[in-house]
Amino acid sequence: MVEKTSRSEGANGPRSADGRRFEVFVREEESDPLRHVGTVAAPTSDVAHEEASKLFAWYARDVWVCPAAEVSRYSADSLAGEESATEPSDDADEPRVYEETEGTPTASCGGAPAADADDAGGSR
Amino acid sequence: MISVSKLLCGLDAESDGLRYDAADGSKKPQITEDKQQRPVVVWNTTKRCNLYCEHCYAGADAEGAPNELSTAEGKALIDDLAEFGVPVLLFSGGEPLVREDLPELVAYAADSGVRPVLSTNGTLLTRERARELKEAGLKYAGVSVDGLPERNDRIRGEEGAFDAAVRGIEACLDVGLKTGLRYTITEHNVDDLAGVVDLLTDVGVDRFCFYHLDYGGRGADISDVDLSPEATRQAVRDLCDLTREYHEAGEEIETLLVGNYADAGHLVEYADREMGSDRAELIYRYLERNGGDPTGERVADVDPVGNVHLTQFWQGYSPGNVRDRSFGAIWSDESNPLLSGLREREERLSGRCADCAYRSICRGGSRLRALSAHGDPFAPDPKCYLTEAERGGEEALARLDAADRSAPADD
Repeated sequence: MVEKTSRSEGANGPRSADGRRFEVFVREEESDPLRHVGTVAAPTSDVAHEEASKLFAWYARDVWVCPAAEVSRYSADSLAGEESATEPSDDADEPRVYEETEGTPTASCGGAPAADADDAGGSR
Repeated sequence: MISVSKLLCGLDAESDGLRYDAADGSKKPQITEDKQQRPVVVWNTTKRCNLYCEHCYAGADAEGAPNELSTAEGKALIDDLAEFGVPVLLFSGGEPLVREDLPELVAYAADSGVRPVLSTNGTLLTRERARELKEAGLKYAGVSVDGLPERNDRIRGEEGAFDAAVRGIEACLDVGLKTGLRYTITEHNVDDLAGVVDLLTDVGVDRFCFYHLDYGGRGADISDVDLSPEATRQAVRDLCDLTREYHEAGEEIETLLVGNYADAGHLVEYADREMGSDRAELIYRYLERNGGDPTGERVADVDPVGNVHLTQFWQGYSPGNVRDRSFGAIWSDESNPLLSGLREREERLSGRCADCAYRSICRGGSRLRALSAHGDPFAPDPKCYLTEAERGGEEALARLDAADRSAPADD
């Protein structure tokens, strides 16, 4: 029997040192899965799409962006291990991806709050 | 990073092993015997800074960023870097000296086999703190000074910053720590350059590191005061002349250029004109080993909250965060099309960079400036200052034998 992975949400928290950031996903061909390719700094999803397009337009069919602060991350490991991570959940059935990021992502997260307190602290 | 003193004057330095393989025949011990396989990593340990410089790529301020990497996370990052084989870790900021755990992190890096070096504005460096850092294992401190006193203080947003930085430099030198100057050249301070070199040579600075402006953070906001191609060409020529004059006068200062690989072609042309074809050919071979612009390959950056960047100046994009997976996993992931594209950029460069005779030693220059100017990371660097004839290979390169240039260097 395969042992289920135990994960914690120790990696959550603000992810930007320079204003708001967006996670970027690209798809090369229609039949390909979406691939996470990192984050861009941008004040809005439209600007994030524009910035991501400059970097990946030569490659990607689809570019999706999502506010980095809206993602809840559950990982088996955290950077500093138990010293800084919250205790792993006792529930080994924890879904791999927190429900807020499941479902069908939209082409852009235009409904995200314009002022993202977690990512405040800088501007570009 | 191009060592003008090495290429024009033959001055060996410990870090030349990273730039030109083991500087063959070097009198000084070299950091590595092989060409650098892993990137030098800049870690912006904090966004907090006691100054507010007009060109700061990190956009540093008094507030800092929420959720900066903790001491424990910093040590785990260093473990990752050591395991990946990173040769050098540059503690930067913001101002890294506002972190009280800096000596602890420096010691941890030194114990892990990663050479710790520091980039600082110098204003918080007392002799006690310099000694503490040296005893922790720090190998080098680069102190930012951007002009003679009045000009520097205006650029850095703080009266007295120049004097405080010089006191910091003196504190480092007093405790025997190798110390250098970092100077970002713009229209605002190009006229002060020779005066600063003169003044700080007397102080005893070991190294002068001159940065071209890159368009990241607040640097992007002042791109209008970047030097024109003609002014850049003149400034680099003056620096070459200055370096040679100092060396001829017996001052073995190390002079480096950072941020515009048109400098590579320019140095070949300069040597061909001023020193002869043999020197030009030698320089070309060294620069071939150096490998051109290092973005996404030989330099990397980790920001205060753990985002990895392709250079320290390119904070707007990150391929991943070290809180999610190790630095090595992020850096090695060539399923990332931008990362893999940059590593084969010679096939993707467009416009004048695609046809340039110097593309193998320049590799297109700054991809960030190309992105800023053209919205395309593979477009030409707008700040290339080579002439059309130089880019066409009609000047120095026409006098160098093509077969020799492609042969392995054995000097």
